[in-house]
Amino acid sequence: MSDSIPRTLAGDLAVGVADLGVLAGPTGTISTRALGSCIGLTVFDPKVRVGGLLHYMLPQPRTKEEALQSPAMFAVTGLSTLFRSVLELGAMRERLIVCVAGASEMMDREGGFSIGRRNRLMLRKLLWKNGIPLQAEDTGGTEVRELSLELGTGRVQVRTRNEERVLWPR
Amino acid sequence: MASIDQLLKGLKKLPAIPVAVTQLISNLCNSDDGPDSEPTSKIVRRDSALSASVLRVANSAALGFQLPANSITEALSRVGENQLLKIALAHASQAALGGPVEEYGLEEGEAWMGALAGALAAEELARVSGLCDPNVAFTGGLLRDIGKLAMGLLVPDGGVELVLTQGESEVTRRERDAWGFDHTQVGAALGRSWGLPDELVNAIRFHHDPPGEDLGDPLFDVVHCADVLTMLLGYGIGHDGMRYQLNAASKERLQLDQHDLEIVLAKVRLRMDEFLGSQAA
Repeated sequence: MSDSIPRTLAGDLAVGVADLGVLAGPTGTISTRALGSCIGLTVFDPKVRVGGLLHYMLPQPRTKEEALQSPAMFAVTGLSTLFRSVLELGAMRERLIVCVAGASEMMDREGGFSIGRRNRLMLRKLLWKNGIPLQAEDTGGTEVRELSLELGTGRVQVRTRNEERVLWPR
Repeated sequence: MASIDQLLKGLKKLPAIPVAVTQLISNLCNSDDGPDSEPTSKIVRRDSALSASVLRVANSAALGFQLPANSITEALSRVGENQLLKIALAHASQAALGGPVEEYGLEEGEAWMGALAGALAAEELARVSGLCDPNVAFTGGLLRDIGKLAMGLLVPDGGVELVLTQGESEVTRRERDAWGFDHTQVGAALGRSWGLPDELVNAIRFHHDPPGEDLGDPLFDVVHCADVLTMLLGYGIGHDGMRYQLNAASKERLQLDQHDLEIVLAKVRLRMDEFLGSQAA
């Protein structure tokens, strides 16, 4: 949000809702909690151990003001900021490992409040348009998720109330 | 079988909110001040913790005053009546909802964040729809899940978690199947025991399943949709996950389209920062 300018502090980093953060390794963890219909996206360059995490809420801003005020709130502005930030820290686009989690839905598939589905569709479209492959995905369902990226190992992990799953390496 | 009110009465200790706050809520819901109603400033002055909260917000950087407000009168004039009510309610609900609600898998502060997000969402939805008072909606959104605080007191140890984590059907139905009541009914009974006005008791009761037009009130639709938006944002979700349903008729009655909805979601997120910032200042 107001602190959505990516941070490069050493150590662990907690990313809030509509927020993003990047870290230059070699160690440290970036994590986010409370992924409901929002999407958490991790990017990691294993060679230089640079990584980032975006927790966005909505597909795209309705106004320029919204985009400027909180770029990490939206897929369109958040993704470009995240990629630019990790590239500035020395990551190479073709080496990036991209994983995604979130986009949960209500039991009736949100009955018209299809935010999770729309968030996921926008992400797919943006990645496809930019020729960026998605390495692993854990989306949908009715659980709230936590997502973390460990720079030392590159491990991307999703935690729900009942279980933990490793998204990468597979 | 005993009613939920009787079950609650039989308990030694119930979750509580300060008396001053129920008085403020009552003032809020009776906007045509009756002869017995007491001015907000007087109610605040009598409660020291509430006074401290009001002074803190009046002196927060967000309001931008150079000189500090030292008196409640000065603080109230800066903050304004509406904001004052929200501070008071947030203060009160933090006392009741700030801790963990272990039975529902909510860690310290998670229920409170869910309450605050629901309050702000309800307030925005009331504004966008123009169908009910935004301040009353804020209060309904804030208190909608108070039933979760008392469920653990009414059912056997570990019972809530077991019911919530097993099965994929809707949560309130599972609660009723297991014990004959769900957290909305318990919340309404708790609200009655606090002396909340009927419209708020009913907003709590119907926040997952608002009745149709004949029996309903736009407030119920607003609080229900606010609850859904809060879940979509990921706040206040525990063992129950997002295993609830949106009432499509409710959404229709509020005439919300995708555009309105996304604007409300973005506003709620931005206002969470503002609100928490002013509380912490």
